[in-house]
Amino acid sequence: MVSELRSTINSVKSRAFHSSCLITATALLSFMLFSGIVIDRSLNNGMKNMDRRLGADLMIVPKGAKEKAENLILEGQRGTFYFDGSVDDRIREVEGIKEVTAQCFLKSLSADCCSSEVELVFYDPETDFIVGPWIAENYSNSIGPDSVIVGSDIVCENGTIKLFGKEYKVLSSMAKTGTALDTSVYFPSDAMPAVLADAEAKSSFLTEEQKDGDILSSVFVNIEDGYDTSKVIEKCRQKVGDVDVVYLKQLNESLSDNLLKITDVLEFVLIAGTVLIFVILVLINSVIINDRKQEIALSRILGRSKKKICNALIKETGCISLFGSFIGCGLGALIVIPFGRYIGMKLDMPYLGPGAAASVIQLTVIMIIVFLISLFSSLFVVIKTTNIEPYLALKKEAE
Amino acid sequence: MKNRLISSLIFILAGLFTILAPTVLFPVCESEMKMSCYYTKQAEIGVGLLIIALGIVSVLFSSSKVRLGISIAQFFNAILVLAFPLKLTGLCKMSEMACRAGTLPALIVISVLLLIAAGVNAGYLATAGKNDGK
Repeated sequence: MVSELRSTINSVKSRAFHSSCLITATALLSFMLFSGIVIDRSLNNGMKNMDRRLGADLMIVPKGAKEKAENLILEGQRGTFYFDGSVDDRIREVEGIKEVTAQCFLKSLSADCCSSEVELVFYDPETDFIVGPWIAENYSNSIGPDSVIVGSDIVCENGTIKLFGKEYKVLSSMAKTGTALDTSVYFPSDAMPAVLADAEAKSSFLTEEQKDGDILSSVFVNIEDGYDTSKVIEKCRQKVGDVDVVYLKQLNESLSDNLLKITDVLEFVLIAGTVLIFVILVLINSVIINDRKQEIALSRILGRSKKKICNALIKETGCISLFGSFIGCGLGALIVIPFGRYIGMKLDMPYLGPGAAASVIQLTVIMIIVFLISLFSSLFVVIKTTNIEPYLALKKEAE
Repeated sequence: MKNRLISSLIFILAGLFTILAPTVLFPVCESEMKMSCYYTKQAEIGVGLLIIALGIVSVLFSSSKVRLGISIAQFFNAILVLAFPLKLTGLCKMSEMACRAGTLPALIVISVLLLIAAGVNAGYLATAGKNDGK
């Protein structure tokens, strides 16, 4: 077995130029497939995650904070925008409103536990329908004032997190979203006065609005069936003054359309690229096998069976495709995985990169696909050449 | 000669990209205040120049032992390229900032490629040296 492998590698090495052409082609194919599939899946995962995050019809934010609110939805990037703490109660009174829940964000406060800054989110567990279903995956009990729920990037020792000198019990860690939500800490809204007092005591910078304490950043609203959304919004504006409204469902639909366009283009490029490289592989293999006709004919004359020759050639193809796909996938992983957030930001789309296990599975699958493509690209030429009569092959070579 | 030229070219290109990544290709965060990433950029310019200088020196010397030494030095320079943003000088803390989203991935790619190139070249030169010794 080892000696067979060694002879295959020696055979590949002895035709350095041809082998490097094949390795380059398979590496290109693997790079393209790996990068394309990872980007495609990450965009789809990001979209699915966003679908689950948007559990409301509308998001009402203070006037002028619409762009920040959309950034929050797309990238999880929170801003500090506030209106007074009674807005949710006033909106609840409006006719046609089915559900209302409010959240308050405190941005960029350093946690004693973490090397990076964390963002604090206060939500009302009683009325919540945004964070709750998301947390319920890991945790189903109610949250107390001394306990928190943390994003997936926050690493806590012994199940606690220290914020402004006080330790909080971590009830659950949320699933990864690929956005800044992963570095957020979720508190029940009852805990807000105590947390703000602790923050002030520890000399953290707080704005006047934050010091006031009775504030909200956004109100999420679900509208009763049969009511006209624009009329309900008008009534809300009459009740609470001029506010900005983010239409979550519309935003979601428009993002889904964009995603569909991007993935369509990506899939077309992948298919076209694969066909093109397949043709190139067939051409290279034809040239190589043509050059080796004499060698194959001599092997036949010396008594090697067709099957053995076929096996040896297929092993060489396997060896080359394995090496090429390893280089291609490695390069793809090196570029696409670290640049995940950058790609998401440039496309203005939610992007959730694959985990380690998913990456390994994708790598294995792509290596198998590339091996099969390489095999098919050489199979026809190999069979055709090994079927030629040795005498004829040698005669043609002599001519 | 071929190995000398190819390896030196790779080193010079890696050095060039180490300088260009935080300054032109994926610039660090722009701010009036000097943040951590600003110092990382300055440090990377220094390391990049060092990598280029060693790459140029590598072309000038035909001795495989000197070039082996240079390759080993480049291997550690590659580690240094990544050590500045990750440990020594650091980057901004928010994950969506330009230095974390663009500069860091670019430096990861350059560092890993330089690490592989320097390691493979060092291995090749060491093996070639051994064979010559025989």
